[in-house]
Amino acid sequence: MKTYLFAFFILVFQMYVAKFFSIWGIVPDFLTIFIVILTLKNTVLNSLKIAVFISVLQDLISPISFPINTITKGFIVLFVSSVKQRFYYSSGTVKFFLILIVTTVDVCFKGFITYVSTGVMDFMYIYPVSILINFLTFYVVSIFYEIR
Amino acid sequence: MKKKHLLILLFLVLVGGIVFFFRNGQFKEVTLDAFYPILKTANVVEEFFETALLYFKSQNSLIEENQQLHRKMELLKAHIIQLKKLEIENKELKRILNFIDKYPEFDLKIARVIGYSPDNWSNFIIIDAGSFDGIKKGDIVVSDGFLLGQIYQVGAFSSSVVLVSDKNFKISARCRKTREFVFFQGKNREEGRLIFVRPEQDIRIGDVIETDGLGKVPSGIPIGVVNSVSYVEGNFYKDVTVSLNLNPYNIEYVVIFSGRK
Repeated sequence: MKTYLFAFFILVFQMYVAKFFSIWGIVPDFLTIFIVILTLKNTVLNSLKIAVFISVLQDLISPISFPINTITKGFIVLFVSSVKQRFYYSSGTVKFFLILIVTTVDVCFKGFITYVSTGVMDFMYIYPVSILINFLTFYVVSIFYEIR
Repeated sequence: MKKKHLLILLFLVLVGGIVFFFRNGQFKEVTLDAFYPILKTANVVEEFFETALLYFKSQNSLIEENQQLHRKMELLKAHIIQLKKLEIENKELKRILNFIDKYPEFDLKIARVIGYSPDNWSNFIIIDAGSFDGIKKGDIVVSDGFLLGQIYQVGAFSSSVVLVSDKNFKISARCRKTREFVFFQGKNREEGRLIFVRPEQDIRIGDVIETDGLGKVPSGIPIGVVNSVSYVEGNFYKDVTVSLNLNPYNIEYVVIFSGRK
């Protein structure tokens, strides 16, 4: 229950407070980072339940009439849980590639669904910048987590 | 007997001596002078302690006074910050009121932005006005005199606004100079695009794209400026981009056009 409440708090944080961390109007995706860390520390089933709970809420408030976040975040949980058994994820390089792949997949999938539903294909600086911001945030958060 | 007389005499001489000693001014002066250095020293010591005590006392009171002044200063600083915030808010609301005066035939509402899109892919905001305030799905939302978006979800106390920069945002519009009717679609925070623009339509770079005034949409609200126009021979439509430059995180208040009066 505590984790669900914390996940909900992260969503509210992402919706209002994240703007204070924005760089050129691009905000770090704290929800994705939270789900990655959650999956690294928990079982697949537990992580999946929380990821679906939070993604459904996110999709409900989004203007896109497709459960885009539920699918991408579910995939992220499955991907991270399969990777975590094979690598020592404390390594900076593994962290970088993990968040790079996770964010890239997230971006590509959302870009594809948006293209299918709206007919607009748009690749701009926002994509690589968001990957970089996500990596930095993930790195800082995981360092804090390890220190604790 | 002789001894007794001698003792009485000695006693009388002693008493007489004491009386003489106390009645004689010279002896008193000498005694006074003898006491002077002692008294003076005692006085100096007392003065020293008194001054020291006063010094510590005054220092304590000064420290206390200083702390009180610091507290007052901090309160005043907070007050100034609050006043500055109110001044900015006041200016913004005045600007909104000026804008509202331009549309007397419309029922306008003012709302505050209370939430933003949780990711970088969908562009929407949440405002603190809902169906209780008369907000309906499809109402036009304006900020800073420019079209900001359209209401797409209405709750009792809050609503979601899909922004002009979102790919799901589509609206019929027209060019201010040439009066050509066009369809605008959002693309990203920097630009949108005009769709279904036929090759014979007169669309020029620098032309302002504004709302067309059809239905409950007010006319003449600017959306953006035409940034580029290109046409590949053989295609059905022209490619037209419109610059927006929209940062939703800077928006605090919005005006909602909730139908004609």
